[in-house]
Amino acid sequence: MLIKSLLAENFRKYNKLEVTEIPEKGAITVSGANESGKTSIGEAICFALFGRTFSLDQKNLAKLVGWGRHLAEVTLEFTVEKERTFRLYRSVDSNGAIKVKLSKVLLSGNEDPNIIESEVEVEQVLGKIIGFDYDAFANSFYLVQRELTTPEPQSATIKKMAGIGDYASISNELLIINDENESKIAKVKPQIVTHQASLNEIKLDETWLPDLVDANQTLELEQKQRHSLLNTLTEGEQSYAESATSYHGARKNRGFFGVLSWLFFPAMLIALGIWIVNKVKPLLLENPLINVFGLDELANKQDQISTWLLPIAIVLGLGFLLSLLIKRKSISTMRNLDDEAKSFSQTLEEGRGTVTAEIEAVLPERVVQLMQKNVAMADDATNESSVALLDVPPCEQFKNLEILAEGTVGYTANPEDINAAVGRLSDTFNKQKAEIKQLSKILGSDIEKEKKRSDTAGKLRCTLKGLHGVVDACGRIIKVNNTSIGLMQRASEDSINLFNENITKLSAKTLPKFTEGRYNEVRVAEDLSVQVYSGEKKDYMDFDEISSGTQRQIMLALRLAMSEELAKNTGNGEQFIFLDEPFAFFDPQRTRSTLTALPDVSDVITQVWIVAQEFPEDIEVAKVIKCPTDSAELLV
Amino acid sequence: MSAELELRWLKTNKLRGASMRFAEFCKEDIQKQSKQEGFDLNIYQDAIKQVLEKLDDSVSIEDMFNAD
Repeated sequence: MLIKSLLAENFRKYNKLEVTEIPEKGAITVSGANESGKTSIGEAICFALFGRTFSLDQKNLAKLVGWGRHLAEVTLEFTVEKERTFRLYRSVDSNGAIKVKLSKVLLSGNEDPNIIESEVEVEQVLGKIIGFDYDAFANSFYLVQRELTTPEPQSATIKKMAGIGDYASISNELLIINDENESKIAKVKPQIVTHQASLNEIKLDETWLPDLVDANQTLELEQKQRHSLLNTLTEGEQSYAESATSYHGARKNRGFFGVLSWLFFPAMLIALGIWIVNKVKPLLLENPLINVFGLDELANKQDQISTWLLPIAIVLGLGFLLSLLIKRKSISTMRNLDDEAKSFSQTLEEGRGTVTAEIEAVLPERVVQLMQKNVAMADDATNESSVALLDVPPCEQFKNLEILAEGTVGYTANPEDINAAVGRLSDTFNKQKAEIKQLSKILGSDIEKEKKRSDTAGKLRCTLKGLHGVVDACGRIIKVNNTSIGLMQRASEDSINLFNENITKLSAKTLPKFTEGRYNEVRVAEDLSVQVYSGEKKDYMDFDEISSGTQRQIMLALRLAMSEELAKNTGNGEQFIFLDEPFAFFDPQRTRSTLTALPDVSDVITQVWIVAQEFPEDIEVAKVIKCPTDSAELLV
Repeated sequence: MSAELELRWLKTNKLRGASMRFAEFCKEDIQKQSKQEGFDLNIYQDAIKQVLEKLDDSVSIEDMFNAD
């Protein structure tokens, strides 16, 4: 954070204070006699940033208002990370009422319209922008020589400087969260035990319900099969007699017209042959008729024969074709009826097989046992295993069905016998259907019971899953938090080591100049207490062992080093420091060398404001501010 | 070294101040911690994210200015 400009009105002795065009790098000297308003410049910066000064807390701010004035105002323009510029306005009236405004300054130099005016919000946003609070500021970037002391080792400020300021509060926050999660787990675990016990009590066999449902479906299929067979058998029985008559008629036709076709065909050939011979070589036919058969008369009627033979041959041919057609038709009818008969025969066989089959064979054994138990209970039977689920007639009862089935192919079986057999089968099927319906009802009741048990177990499992989820989630949060805490502990040790190393390195540059080589470097112990290396004693000394004058010199070196570390940890790039009377205990030579060295001791602390009554004239500085004793205005 | 143990998702150049230092530390620390028995990379990464969130405070300065 670097200051770009400082404007104030009616602040302390100044009616008007304007410090502008402040260089980003180098020493800015603020000099003047006593009561010239040097310290007021530092106070104006501090007031603008934090609404208080080093000597005045929030309750006494009215004292900042110039004598005889009503309102003191300060406007501070500053940059962070080189690019972002902010304008901070703060005023206090003679009653101590404060007004504050914080805004961004755009690249054009204009003010962004989004302005924060609430004191609380400004404090929050400003803390985020500059990265430090008043305590850290007062212990680092704003050094007032008369109050220059070692920071409290465990203070929040020094932790902030080491970059571990937030670790303790985050760790505490995480520990509280861990406690809450452990309480949750402790609350949930007994519930898990209770629910698990309830689930164990149910003793649910996951395969039992599917077995029951399968068995029920099997019963339904058996029922459907019997129903379908019944219909098919009834239809077959009804059509059998009619088909048998048709079949036998077709067989007769086939025989009769088969013979007829065999008669027509040769007769047609003969008639046709004679006609052709008579036409082609009449003598060939005439001679044998006269000579051999002595049919002179017939030979004379050759022309007439020739005329009649052709139509006769045609009629015989048509007769042959018709016979052939009727024969084929009869064969086709027989084939169809044969197929029908075979199908009926198969149905009869199937019916016989179904009616005599034991239903236990198609059901899972343990389902059969359950059903036998239920049937036995319903029937008051003592031996459950002997209970048959279905009344199956002995095989012998339907033995003739086998012969009848064979007889239906070729329609040799007597339709009356068929009617009687189908009637017996149908009666048995109807009886079995009623029994299966009853079994299905019993099984349905068992399925319902099992479903209820399964639902209860499902709900318990679901609850248990949720509870385990809570335990797992809480456990994970605790693990992550513990890992975070461990990480921060290790990071803290690492940061302190780095902090110490950097402090030692930086103080080694400045301390010899401030103490004329008597002390070489400062280090910060693991407990963050300060120790100083004495060149004379060749050992580290506790801060308390050193004289108060030297302590202040050492503290300047230490604070500079610490300020650099804090600046690094804010992440805001280059930083200003305000040193009010830092050389009060320095002789002129040490003041000169320190003043020369100060602007260059750090790459981070680049803008160094130094307040003193006077400065050597021959030392080149970035900006000179001379506070007047006889004027209430300062414009530089 | 596996890519996961390099914590490539952790961009230190996008962080600043204490957060950047913490992230840099984590990149070194994971090399040691990953050799410990029972090391869980997911837990470790979540722990880093958690600390960074708390260090950084997710609300940006711009958001704070733009909030009504």
